[in-house]
Amino acid sequence: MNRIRESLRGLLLAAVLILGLVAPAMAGDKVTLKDGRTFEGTITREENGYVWMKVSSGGMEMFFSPGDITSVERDAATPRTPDPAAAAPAVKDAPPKARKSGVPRIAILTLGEVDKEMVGVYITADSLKSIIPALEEEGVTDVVFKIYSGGGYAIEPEKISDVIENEYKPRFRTVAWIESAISAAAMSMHCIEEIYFMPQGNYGACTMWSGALVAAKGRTLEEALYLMERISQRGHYNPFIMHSMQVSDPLSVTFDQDGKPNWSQDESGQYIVNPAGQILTFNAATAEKYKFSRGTARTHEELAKLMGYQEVEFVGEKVPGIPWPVCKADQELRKFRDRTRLDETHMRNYRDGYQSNVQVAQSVQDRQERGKFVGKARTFLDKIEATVKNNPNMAIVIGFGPDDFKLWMAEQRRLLRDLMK
Amino acid sequence: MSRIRRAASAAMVLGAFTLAAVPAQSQPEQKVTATDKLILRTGRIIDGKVLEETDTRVKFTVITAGISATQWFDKADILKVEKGDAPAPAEEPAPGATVAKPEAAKAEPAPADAKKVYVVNLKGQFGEDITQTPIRQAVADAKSRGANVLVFVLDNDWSMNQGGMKDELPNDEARFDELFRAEQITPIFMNEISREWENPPKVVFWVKQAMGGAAFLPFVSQNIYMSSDSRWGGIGNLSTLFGGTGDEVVRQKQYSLRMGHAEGWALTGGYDYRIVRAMAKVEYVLSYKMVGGQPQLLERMPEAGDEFLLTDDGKDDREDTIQALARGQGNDVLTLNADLARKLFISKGTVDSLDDLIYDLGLSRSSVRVDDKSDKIMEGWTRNLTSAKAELRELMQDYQQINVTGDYSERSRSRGAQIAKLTQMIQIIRRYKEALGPRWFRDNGYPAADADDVISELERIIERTRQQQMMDKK
Repeated sequence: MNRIRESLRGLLLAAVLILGLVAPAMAGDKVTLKDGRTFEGTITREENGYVWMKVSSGGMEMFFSPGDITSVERDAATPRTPDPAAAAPAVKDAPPKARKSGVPRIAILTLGEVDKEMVGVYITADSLKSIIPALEEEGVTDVVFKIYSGGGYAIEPEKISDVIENEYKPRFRTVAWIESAISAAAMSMHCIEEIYFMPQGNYGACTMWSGALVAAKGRTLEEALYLMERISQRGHYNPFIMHSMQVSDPLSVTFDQDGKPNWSQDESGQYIVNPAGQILTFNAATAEKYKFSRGTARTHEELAKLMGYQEVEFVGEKVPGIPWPVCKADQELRKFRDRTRLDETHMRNYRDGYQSNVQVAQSVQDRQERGKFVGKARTFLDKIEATVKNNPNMAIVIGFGPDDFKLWMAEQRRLLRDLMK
Repeated sequence: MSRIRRAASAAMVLGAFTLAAVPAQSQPEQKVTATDKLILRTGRIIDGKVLEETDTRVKFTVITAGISATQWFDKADILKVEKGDAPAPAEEPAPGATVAKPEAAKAEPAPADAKKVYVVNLKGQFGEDITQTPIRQAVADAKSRGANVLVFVLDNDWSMNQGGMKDELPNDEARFDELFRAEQITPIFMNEISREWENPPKVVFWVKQAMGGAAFLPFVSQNIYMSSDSRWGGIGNLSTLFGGTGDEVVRQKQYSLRMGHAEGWALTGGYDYRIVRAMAKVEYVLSYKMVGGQPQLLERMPEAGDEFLLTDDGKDDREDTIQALARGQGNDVLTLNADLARKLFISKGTVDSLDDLIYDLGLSRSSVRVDDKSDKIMEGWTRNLTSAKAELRELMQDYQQINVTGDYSERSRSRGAQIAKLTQMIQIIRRYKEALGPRWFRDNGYPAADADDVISELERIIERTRQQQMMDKK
């Protein structure tokens, strides 16, 4: 169970590092776009993330939308119209806070958010592993995974569980704070012993399926059940609980005199937690009642109290719109999700653009004319390749596993060459 | 409960919707001094003078090289308005938003201890008229007015248009899956208000009608009132959402995760999650009895005279009869009314007027209304959405009528016109996509899909049109 998959990690680690790169200071200002282009010059105006720049080369004034910008580097000596939005606290400029000796330092890491919640795409083992140095740099003692996800790809929970078990738990007190953890999200958190809920939290519904609601069966199902039995051991949960989240077997519980729960994979217990024929999802009330969760916390302050702390430091800086301080590691996770969102939106268009230009090229007789379409197809193919380089799991969005994708890329390159023969 | 409502008249279709900064009325002007700046999202900065402002547009005198002309600019295209005579607000104008004026933040004249009440009427179709953008705008306005109490009056349209007539739908009509649409709205009440207000207001829901996805909204508030003819439900189809599609175990998974979400919203407001379960699942049995003046829920049929049935399992002779359904008296799933909600301690009171509500809230002698812009915001959204839909219909008709024929130059022009129409469609859909669903797209000549997928499809058509142009020969 200690497998860490090097092939994916290496690529993704590189990608996250690129996102976090800060280029050396240069004379004047510099804007780097998401398509890789950079512009140097003088920023003349900034409004809500929009940037106007008089570029050094040619003196032309250019305009950049926030959605196109990766980073803005400013020369401190350059005068400009101040942008209130840009005045939001930037961690790199913030003076380091004095750390209180012996006081736990909690980092809240967000796994998923609305529209960026899919496990395996927005929540990946590699992105979690890559931020550990940032957590250590900030002296974090406790990590809270605040999760919001409706599920995702079945290949990822084992990898995430491995990273949490082998990389996080030895370094930090690791807890989960559940806003929504459905399916692959619940499976990914199940190795964590300390689980807390938000009042609206939900956790479960882990049945594997594909296509038109077709359940995984036979060997595939057995492997999934066995995997989660092992992951249940990591989290010290009775395996019957996760079993009733995966298949429609009943679950009941009886509390002994000491209040300790004894679980049964039937309906014989004191409380029927999951009737036969149904799939289990806990809400905050049932999770607490059946002692699956350690409690329910509406705010991060309430969570710290439930964790037994009178005094804590939440690591990071205040950011407008986010109720708790945001640490550097979480900033990286948020950047990763933003970039992935952009890639996901474009990926299907790249694929469609590539395919339609190839089809047209195949139907054109004149070689020179054909070249125009092959050129456009090649541009789309380059974009697909760059996107998968950033996040290998993006290959799944267009229907490939990482290894299949490499083969497909090679075939397409050959096809484009042949079309120009 | 006679709630049959007449169809909206043809007057609902308003004038042409302006897509961009179009000079709708360009005319020579008298000499005006350029004191203001209009900063567009395209990066263009225009000097001139703001003359007038509506919910959606700004009338601006453009002054270039001493020549001035007046144009209307769509607010969606404006990043910022800088007024020379006063500092402009930094907030971005959103569709339907009003560029904040300095006087907007001024408090209403009122007694020093008066509580400021802001009422938001949530009327119309859930997910279209009742949607996050105008609600956020109204809440932001309430914040700027320093509201102490926010009252959301919920009365969603639960009807079907049949031959130009609106027929009110019965209680057993159900749309549980609007849950996920509701989840795009509930964070406003649950997270954003407490996060963004220094002194968060008391959030009150006054339920007149909360059916379908709207049924999930009041649960996030701990202060629910109902009107005497109210109904709250319309989500009783969870167990039949997927019909016979796929394997039973996967259907059960789908029901379970949805129930987990829905129950979470009830728990957030401090309500028993079993109430939502009874509203959603036919096979679920729930009764109650009063113990020490408090309702106690029982997950079984009543077994004594002091126990009362809320919902049975709908099986065999317990299945609702057509007589009961026609009278709104079925009990296979729970539909709350004022009386029941009060007994179950879900509703804090039954009121039939805003004055009564204010009285019940204990504010009758010490409150002032500060919601003069609220209806304008909500109705402005509905009006703009109606216009956008009309524009989208026209654009599709225009697009379909463009024939790519004639010589090379005519064909090129036609394809250019096609691309322009498609681009306009994409712009409008992007702006109003939260309120445009697959059904609307299907009924109006577009692919029956979510807005993002429709945009992708239109982008594909543009790409194909460009390819055809590249392949064309003179």
